[in-house]
Amino acid sequence: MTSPPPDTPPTAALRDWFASRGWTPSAFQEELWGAWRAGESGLLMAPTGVGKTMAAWGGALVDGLARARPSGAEPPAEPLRYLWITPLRALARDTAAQLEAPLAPLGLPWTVEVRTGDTASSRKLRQRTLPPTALVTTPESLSILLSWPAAARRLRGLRGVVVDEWHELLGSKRGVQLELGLARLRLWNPGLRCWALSATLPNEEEALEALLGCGGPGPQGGPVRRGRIIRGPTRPPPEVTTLLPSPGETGRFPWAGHLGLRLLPGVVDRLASLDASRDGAAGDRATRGRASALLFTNTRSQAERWHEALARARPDWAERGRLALHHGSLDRRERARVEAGLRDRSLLCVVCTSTLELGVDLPAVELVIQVGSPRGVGRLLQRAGRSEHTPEGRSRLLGVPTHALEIVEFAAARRALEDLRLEPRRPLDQPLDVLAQHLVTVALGGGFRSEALLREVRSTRAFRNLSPTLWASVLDLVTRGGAALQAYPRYRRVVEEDGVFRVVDSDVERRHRWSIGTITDDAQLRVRFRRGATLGSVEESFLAQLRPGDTFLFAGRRLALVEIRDLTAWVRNAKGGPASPRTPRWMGGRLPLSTELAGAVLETFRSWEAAGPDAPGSPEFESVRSLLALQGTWSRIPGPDRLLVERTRSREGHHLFLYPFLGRLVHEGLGALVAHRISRATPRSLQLSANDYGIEFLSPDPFEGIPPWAELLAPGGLEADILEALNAAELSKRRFRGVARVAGLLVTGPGGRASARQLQASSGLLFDVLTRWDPDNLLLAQARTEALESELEFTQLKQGLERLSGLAEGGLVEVDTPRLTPLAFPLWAERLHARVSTERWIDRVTRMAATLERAAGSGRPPRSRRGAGSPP
Amino acid sequence: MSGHGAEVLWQGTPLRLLPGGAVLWPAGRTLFVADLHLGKARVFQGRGVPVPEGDDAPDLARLAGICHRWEVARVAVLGDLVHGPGSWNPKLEEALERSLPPERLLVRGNHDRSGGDPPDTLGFRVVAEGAALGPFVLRHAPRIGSGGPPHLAGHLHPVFSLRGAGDRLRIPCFVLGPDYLVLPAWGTFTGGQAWIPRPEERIYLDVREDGGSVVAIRPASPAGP
Repeated sequence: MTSPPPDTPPTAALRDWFASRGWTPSAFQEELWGAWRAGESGLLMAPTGVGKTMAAWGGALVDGLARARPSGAEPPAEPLRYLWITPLRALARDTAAQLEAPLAPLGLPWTVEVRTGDTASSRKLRQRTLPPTALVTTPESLSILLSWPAAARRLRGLRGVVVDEWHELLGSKRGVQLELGLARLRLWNPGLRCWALSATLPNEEEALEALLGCGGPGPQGGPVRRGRIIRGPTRPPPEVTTLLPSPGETGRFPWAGHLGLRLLPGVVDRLASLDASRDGAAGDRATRGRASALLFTNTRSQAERWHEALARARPDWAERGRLALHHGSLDRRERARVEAGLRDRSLLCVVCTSTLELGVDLPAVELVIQVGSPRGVGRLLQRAGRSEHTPEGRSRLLGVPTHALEIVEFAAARRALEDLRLEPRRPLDQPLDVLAQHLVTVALGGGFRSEALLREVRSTRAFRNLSPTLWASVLDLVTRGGAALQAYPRYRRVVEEDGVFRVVDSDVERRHRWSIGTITDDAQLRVRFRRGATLGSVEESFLAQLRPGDTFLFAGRRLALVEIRDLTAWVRNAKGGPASPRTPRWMGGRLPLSTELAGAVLETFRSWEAAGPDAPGSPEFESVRSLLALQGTWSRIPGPDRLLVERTRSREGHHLFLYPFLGRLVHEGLGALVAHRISRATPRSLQLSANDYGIEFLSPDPFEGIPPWAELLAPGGLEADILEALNAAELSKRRFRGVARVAGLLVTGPGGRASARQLQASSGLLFDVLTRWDPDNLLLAQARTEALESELEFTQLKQGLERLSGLAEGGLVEVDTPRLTPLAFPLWAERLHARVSTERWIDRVTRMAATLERAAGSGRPPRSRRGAGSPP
Repeated sequence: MSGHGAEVLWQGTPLRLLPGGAVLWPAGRTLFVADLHLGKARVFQGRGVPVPEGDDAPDLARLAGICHRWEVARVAVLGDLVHGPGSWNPKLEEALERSLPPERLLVRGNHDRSGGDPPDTLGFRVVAEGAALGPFVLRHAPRIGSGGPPHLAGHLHPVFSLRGAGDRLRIPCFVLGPDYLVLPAWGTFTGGQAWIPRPEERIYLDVREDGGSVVAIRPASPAGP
């Protein structure tokens, strides 16, 4: 279509463009366009693939057409008008292309550019002098824009901001970073439209509030307008089917991963029939009606293993390049290659992690497979959304359990999906490390006055309750180093002159910009061939366990480590090697089962139990019928109104099993709490293990004289008890790494320069130094809070305790079992992540040294004995 | 028992490995230490990173305590006495003057090059890599597997990683190789490099808690040549 005639009303012009593409605007799209024109802001919630991008961008287009109209002539060079924020830089380029498509047909002389950590610096420089009309960028890059001295001038012309995939940012520190950035932009542009696009969330009000802030400055200090929530079309829930092991294979004593790759043949069969359908259509080159599949795993190491297994099962596929691997540690170019292969349909199956779950613009695939527990309802919905839809609009997903109880999880997820019971994403509250970072950013970006910035910061949801005292401490942190003044004689980061806070040191300036982008990164080493390509990156902690010559799986290859030098692991292709080479373990692989899904599992148990043991049931039920029957015979089956406790004895001692079904993280905290309360009443040394379903307590002495469960599970005194129970210092130390990085203590500056090397210290070391010499430092407090909230899901734990203590009054069933039950077995087998022990540290050292002595000769410390041995 | 460390025979010379990361050569009344990295927090502060100062004083007090207890006449620092530019300051000089025996030797380490030599008033003899002291060759950076002369060195900050059920501990260690002895870092505010022992090495853990002890973790092989 050519440019619309000059007198076409803007919305009509946009509708015409839609029509030229064969589309009709949806009601929700029209609603957003109208709201945008009326100057409103808000939140659009809709599933992937219904046209959220054009709903929001259409608002900007209509706005632009309306403004261009009066003169009709080419407008003069414009400042930056629109920001499009995306959580993944991998999405930026695709998004920019989508935004560009309607511009020429509509006759808008706009430019769209991308600015992320990957953008060349020459391009970034040009963007400063000659800004595009719309910039597609990430929260980090927005912070960097805010850190330039002329930020206010350059961003004052903004008319609209769109935040894509808001549900991904919500609940993370990057989300808070963005909240603070948006508060700045609103201050400079009182009429700014701000829209967020999100997948469906149950807590939409919170999501809206985080986006638009809570009152605060407004145009003349007045209240900020309430935003509008627009809901897109809903889809019927996806069809979830489960690939089931043959009856003999399920077994009655499962443990995490025991089915492992046993279902591989079934998966290969499905792929083969997909491949056959694709060969059948191969003659039709024009449309290339070829089928492909996405196989999602929960962890990157699981992805590596499944990729290797598929390649072994079907070397022909591997040789013809029809299998590929996609995860977040792979090199960007490799990932782009795989995405291209999905677009041109040359790939049969891509084994992937959550990297392909998000909005990368890809054609729908014929088959989506989920290997292992779905973990959460929303997550399964998102993944299923990658598949093409049935005529009724349903997406489809094939579940592949890796142990028997995951079969129940798939059935439970189906139930939860039908009721659309999704997990909320809770925005973070007051992360002071992010605030400290923001203060330096603003100090760089033109400087600030304390009172004005406090007002602005308090307009965000995250910091709405920030006390003046805390504000003063954060200000202290960036200006004087900390409250313990005498400890920081040479410190200088942000300097106050005549009431204005600025950064004057160019070295501080450079390092701060560098560090802004590293909120999410962990210590990674590049993996690189001696001559040639970079394959991606792996966590340092994994590589530290390898010695030169050891083989491991990465990027779909068997690699042998040559050496580690210059923050790079140099590798070569390994010939042969052990049958099961090691796979890197990345952090983040231990995502717990969501409360919603765990609750659905309990309900599934109840409805199966209510139907009676002989009633015919779903295929999933048939598959685990004997397991549940045995559980019911030896003990009881847990349910939403029944809290099960089992006691048994073994050579190891006395076991107590508790099944709250609250997810592993909550169980770790709950386990420590209960163990602490038991030991307080009857002193003893307890060992703990926890999984998504329950907790095991192991004691050398019988559990006699322990307090009643109502007391052990009482919510009162929770926080004090849990801090006493857990090694709070250890937990905080773990969290401190992230805190220190965000707040600028952990210097990960541009590598190679000697000056940067002088500033390197591990987070553990910094934690120790702060604890010793500035124990009141607010970053330590921040790490403590985060440890409680994130490592233990403190809020969930509190809510869980309310429910459990209610059950302890009337729904508690306590059973003595002669041996481990099917539910107890996986807990026994999966020892053990935490340990309660009163032994002193020095004893541990010498005892472990003794262990090492026995293993001497092997040349390396023994690995932890988790899951080894035979059942008691 | 606590704090006595471990007696070893290395290159035919009796030495005592002391908790905290020092090597005592009793016959020479000499104490070897490495990698103090004094003034490290100040280097951070000067660059806008808020790390509190504090570890220097106790680190030096530990050193003074050991020198006194074992009646040491000479301290030889195997490099990285200070951390970098801005580390030296009057308070530190004073503390060093108080803590060390009169005879002082420093093998200039990589950090000393940017941090600067000690002021003359402190009376250090500053030497380069490979200087000799009695039967020993002193280095900052060890040369492992080079076949060169046997030497004492630092630089690598070796730590040993212990894994057990649910636990992981990183403990500084002494590494006794056939022709090198690498000391752990003396400074508290220093990191460590995970050490994967070679078969010919003996590893001694430098456990600093509870009064300190030095624990051998593999059977002593026959003493070196």
